Amino acid sequence: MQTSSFTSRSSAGTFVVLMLAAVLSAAFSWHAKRHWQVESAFFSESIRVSQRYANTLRAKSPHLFIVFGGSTSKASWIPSILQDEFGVPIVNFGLHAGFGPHVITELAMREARPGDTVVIAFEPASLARDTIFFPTSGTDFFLHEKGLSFRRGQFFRLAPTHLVQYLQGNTRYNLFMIMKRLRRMKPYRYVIDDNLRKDGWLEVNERRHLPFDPTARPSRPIHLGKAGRELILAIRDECERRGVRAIYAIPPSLEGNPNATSAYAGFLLDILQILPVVRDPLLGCNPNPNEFADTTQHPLRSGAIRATRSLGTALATDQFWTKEELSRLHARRIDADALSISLPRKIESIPNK
Amino acid sequence: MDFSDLTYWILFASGVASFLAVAGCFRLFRSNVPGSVHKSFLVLIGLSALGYASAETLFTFLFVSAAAYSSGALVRRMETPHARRIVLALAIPVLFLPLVWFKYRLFIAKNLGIDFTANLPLVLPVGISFYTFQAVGFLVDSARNRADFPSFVDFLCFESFVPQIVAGPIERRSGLLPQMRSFRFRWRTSDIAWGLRYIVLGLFFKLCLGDNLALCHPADSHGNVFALWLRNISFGLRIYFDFCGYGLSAYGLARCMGVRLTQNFAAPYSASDITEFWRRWHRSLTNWFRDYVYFPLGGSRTRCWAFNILFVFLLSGLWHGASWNFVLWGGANGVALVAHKFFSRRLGLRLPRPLARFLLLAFVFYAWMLFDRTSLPALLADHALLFSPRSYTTSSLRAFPGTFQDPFVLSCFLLPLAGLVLLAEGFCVRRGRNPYAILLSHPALCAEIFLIFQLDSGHANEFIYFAF
Repeated sequence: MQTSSFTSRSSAGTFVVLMLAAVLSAAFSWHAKRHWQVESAFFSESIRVSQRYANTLRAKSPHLFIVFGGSTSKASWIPSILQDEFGVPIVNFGLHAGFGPHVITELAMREARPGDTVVIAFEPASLARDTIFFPTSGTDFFLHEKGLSFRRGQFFRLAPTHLVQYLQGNTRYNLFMIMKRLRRMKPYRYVIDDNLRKDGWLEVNERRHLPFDPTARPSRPIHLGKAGRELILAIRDECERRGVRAIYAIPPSLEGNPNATSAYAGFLLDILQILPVVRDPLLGCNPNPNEFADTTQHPLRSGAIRATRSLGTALATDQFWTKEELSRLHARRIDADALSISLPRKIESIPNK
Repeated sequence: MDFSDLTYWILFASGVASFLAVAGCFRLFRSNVPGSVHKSFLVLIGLSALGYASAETLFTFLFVSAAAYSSGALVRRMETPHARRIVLALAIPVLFLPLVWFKYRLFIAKNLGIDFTANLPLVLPVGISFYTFQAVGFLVDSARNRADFPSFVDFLCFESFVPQIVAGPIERRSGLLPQMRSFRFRWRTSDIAWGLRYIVLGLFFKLCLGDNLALCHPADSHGNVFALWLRNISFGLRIYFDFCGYGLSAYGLARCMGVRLTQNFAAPYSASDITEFWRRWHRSLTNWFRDYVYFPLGGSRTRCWAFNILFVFLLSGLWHGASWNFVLWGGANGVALVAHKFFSRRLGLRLPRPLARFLLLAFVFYAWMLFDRTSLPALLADHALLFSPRSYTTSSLRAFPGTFQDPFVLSCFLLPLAGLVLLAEGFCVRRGRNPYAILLSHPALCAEIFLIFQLDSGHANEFIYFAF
């Protein structure tokens, strides 16, 4: 093919131009990820808030409960209520579940000190995988939080490929952000001043249409996956090494199907083989859609208070599930034809967003 | 051999670094590295890449290569054309045997009603459709040109040349073999500079356009004809940018090594008619079928010229996949080509250029629907929707944005970006230049590099043509 008059004939010029373009583009990506990733900025600030709260708690109680998991735990349990009503000094280091359990664990476990109790609160879906997977959002957040840190963590290792991913902007995200700015919309659905409380609780007060069907099919069994099991074992071993107690608590989500408790009981039986499981009678299920906000994982204040009191009762009195109890609950599956659900029939009308 | 995968570049760089280490040892003894060492390393890199893909890939390739080379050596010794034809008649089926076994056995069995065991793993060796055709071309050309027969190492360099082995272009003996004979690992700055340009353009096509168009490709039209057209258009653009991206990257990498491959695409969507479209789309395959099937059948010089064209395109469709929809796609293109030749050449009819282009694009994007939908019932339903006048209503148009699988904004950005790229190609084509001249200019390359960094789809999509 003939060369075009549009193109430069200087090879050296080409090398310089391409190299410069690559370096500047990479620098732009780095800057954009560090300063314009609204989700990372929000959850970074949530870690700072939780750290400040932890410092104030440690002044009164030397040993804390460190909760970490996805945003379900972040939104469901209110640390100040647990402290004030139940005397349980708890600090919530829950993050966005999309960061992946390994990144969340790596960051939260740095806060645990000898004598503390870590309350692992990952959603069952996060621990159901058989293969280890580090989502890009998680590695990006880790780099945002820790910078260039190519060292081997306890639960998560940063690899050079993660740095390459960090230098790449996501199409959907970038276009969404441009659209939001052009339409003067909120960059992120959560805002620090509106949604992040001083005790680290994520208060979600925006209601959206939720998928909720009382006649949905019975939940499929959920089990601890191979990768999830390895992570839980690693956390237990590290806690033993550091003199930290480790327990598991299942955060509640909107579940209208009565067989959901049976499914979650099965999951908790898997966890029980490794760690004690907090005897929260909600068993990960809240069937009331009026107590949920923007997703089936994020409760409104009323739902969070219910979940907090349920957890607080169990933690304050050191109640844990036994194998027999969970086995009975797991065995109790209701025939699909004989579903009888006592659910609120009136679902408050909400704006369709 | 996925250019968008970092592992590929690491493996390739490792191979080159190994050669440089060996070359360094030669330099210690103040001697030049023999050409055979250069070529052996090239073969080693190619075979390593195939072996890295899978053991089946490597062994199948070695079988096809050994069969092609030994048949070529044998046919060269035959004195009479009749004897040469017999050797070809025996050898070519042997070369096609692995392709038929891996790619078509289940299709054949299903259509013959044979309950073929489903327990055998269906692992398609990487690149088999491409290097098999390349080997057959080599064999036929060797029968025609008996004087000049390469050494086995030269042949392996030709057959396993790493940039093009997996997804083409399907090279000819006359084009690539002489370059392989004189191949050395030379690092000419001009070649590397041009090669890098093509690699950047190829990655831009693949990563920014091809992969992201996959995101806004609706999974289902939801009974909306406009969504169906969008699906067809986004698929047609996606397959172009994906495949052309691969070809450009392959061309660029080969150019870095001082080797000139065939450019498989020449802005096909800038064509004015279907004949020109097929001169610009996947040119190496089109030319292969022309030279080894169409011409031997008599080409356009016989009364059966229409049958010849149709036959070639049916075969071409089948080459793409072991499914009837691919055959239909090939057949539709064959019919369109026959119709064009009949009306334009035999009857001398000429349409105004804008109308001709509109009809061409409408047909091509319609035909991609045949390519994309592997389920015949779904294809029939799509046809019913597409060709029913009642589908084209204002209410369908209003409902159209709601059918988007991905947010509207994605399509509103990507489709215009793709359109801009195609306009740049068309601009160059109309001026008789390299269709990618504008896209290979420094300002365009800077923009492409920036977009490569900013438009990561988040999904690692394998090159579509790897499946063939």
